Amino acid sequence: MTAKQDNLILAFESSADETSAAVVKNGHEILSNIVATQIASHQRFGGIVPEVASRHHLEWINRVTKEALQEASITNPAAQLSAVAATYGPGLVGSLLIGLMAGKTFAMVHGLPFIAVNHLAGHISAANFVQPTSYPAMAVMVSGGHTELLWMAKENSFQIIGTTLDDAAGEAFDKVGRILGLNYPAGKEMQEMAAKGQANIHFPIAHTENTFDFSFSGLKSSVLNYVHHADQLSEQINKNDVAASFQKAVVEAIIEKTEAAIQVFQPVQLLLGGGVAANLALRTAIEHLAQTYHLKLTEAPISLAGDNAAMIGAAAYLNFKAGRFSGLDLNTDPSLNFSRM
Amino acid sequence: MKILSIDTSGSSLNVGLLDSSTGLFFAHEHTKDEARTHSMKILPAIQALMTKAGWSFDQLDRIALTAGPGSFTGLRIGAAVAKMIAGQTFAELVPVSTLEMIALSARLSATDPNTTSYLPMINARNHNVFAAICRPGKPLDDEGHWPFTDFLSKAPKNSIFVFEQGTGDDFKAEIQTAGLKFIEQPSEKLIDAKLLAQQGLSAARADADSFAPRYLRKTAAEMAWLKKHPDAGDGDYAKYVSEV
Repeated sequence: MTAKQDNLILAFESSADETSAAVVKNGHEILSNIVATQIASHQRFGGIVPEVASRHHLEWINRVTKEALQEASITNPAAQLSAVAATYGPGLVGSLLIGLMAGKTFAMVHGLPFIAVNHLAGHISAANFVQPTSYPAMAVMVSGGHTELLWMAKENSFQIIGTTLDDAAGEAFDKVGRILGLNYPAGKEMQEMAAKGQANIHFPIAHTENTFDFSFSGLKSSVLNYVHHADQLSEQINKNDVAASFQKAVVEAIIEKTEAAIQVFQPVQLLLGGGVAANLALRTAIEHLAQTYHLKLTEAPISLAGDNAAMIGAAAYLNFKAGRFSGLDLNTDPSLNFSRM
Repeated sequence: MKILSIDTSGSSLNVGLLDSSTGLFFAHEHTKDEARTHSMKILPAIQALMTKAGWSFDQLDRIALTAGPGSFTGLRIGAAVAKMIAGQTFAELVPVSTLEMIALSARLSATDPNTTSYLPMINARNHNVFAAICRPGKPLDDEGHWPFTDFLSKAPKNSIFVFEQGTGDDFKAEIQTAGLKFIEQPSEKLIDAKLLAQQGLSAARADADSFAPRYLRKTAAEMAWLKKHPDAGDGDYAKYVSEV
């Protein structure tokens, strides 16, 4: 391969309830990004059932692979692709296994190098589809499974500044949504309700030992107490107000910690990613924060905020450039994480 | 015909390559610590055998796979590999029942293979089993997930239970009380990789892209949900997943 030739990576993502395959060019251009979502299935149970998720992944993996290749006009993988990548953690072990085995097998069959990708690095790398990142950067990663403040001293380097001690922000949205009688996942509906309501109820933000860590389980409990208390007094609650007040508390918690970290670490750039990055109140607040501190900001496009394989391809490209490849014996690492600063 | 056989349904990893026209056969050599390592060991094992045989993946005609029942995770590891190889090459996917393979593998070393009925069995916990009746020369009968006692009442006279060593202790007393016998197979002998490849010659092919293992059991969450929603049908997974 000559240096000038385009780099095409086929990437797989299956860490939770989306089965996805994508072809990414030079780490920042999406040639295809096929995502099959299982939401309708897990809605039956009010949350992800791991065994059901694993079964769905296996049923869809070949189909999303073929569609991703076809849409990217890959007819000769061995000749056209530079590498194959897959998420190996963190996530549900049974779910991760399908994308990882599929990716490794594809690499073996076509004689391509294999790249293992950290799911969180994938979410952060979705920013590369918007514009190149400037360093040092700080990433705010908020999803159903993760809430992290990450430090990036340079490209492809990630350290944890702060993380959640209990529930992830998206998880808190789902749990409060359940209290309010909403379907799983509740993020989108909560946002719509919040827009119609007033943030007039005080739900306290938990204080953590490490200034930069998050805690959302207390917040969820205080919403639950508020609703129960009203129930006992047979009082009508305004669900839109509850949603607005809860969303405000979550956004404030994230902004407060992020601002404290900006002051201490002084990045030149902010990145926002993860499923909850689709929340408009959070986006607006982060945009305001970036403006205040004159920071460059890259928000993951809403269409790429949720789990998808394109972001894994973007992260894999950084590993490719750094020569970081993995063997066919690589296993999943369900609790994979970055190290603390 | 060039056949790759894959079995990851149990604690032992079975992988083999058979060329039916020359009789050439290579098998993955078992190691002591194979249980729960299939995801790490299966691809290096396949690659090593392909190198040894001097084959390329495009030369494969068939992939014989134990389709289940068995360990859910184990079944999925083998199936993900088999599906992807079949989907990316000219090879056809040929699923074979895990229970049938357990019975046929036991028959290999039987003294009277042509008259004995075998009862291949996998412990499914809580005194339940995945089991079937394998009569000589007949297709598998009554394959399913059974309360053990219910299955025992179906066992033909003089039939022999076959299960992996160390997995059938809960059932031995009942088997003996019923006047039947059992064979405990060491895990590496439970399924014969060469026999699996040979079965792949004659068994029916499946569509690799839509193939799903024969779990023979829904998840607890789905069973509970179906109980509450009796009109929802048999839980057709596919309709619950859609591209976005």
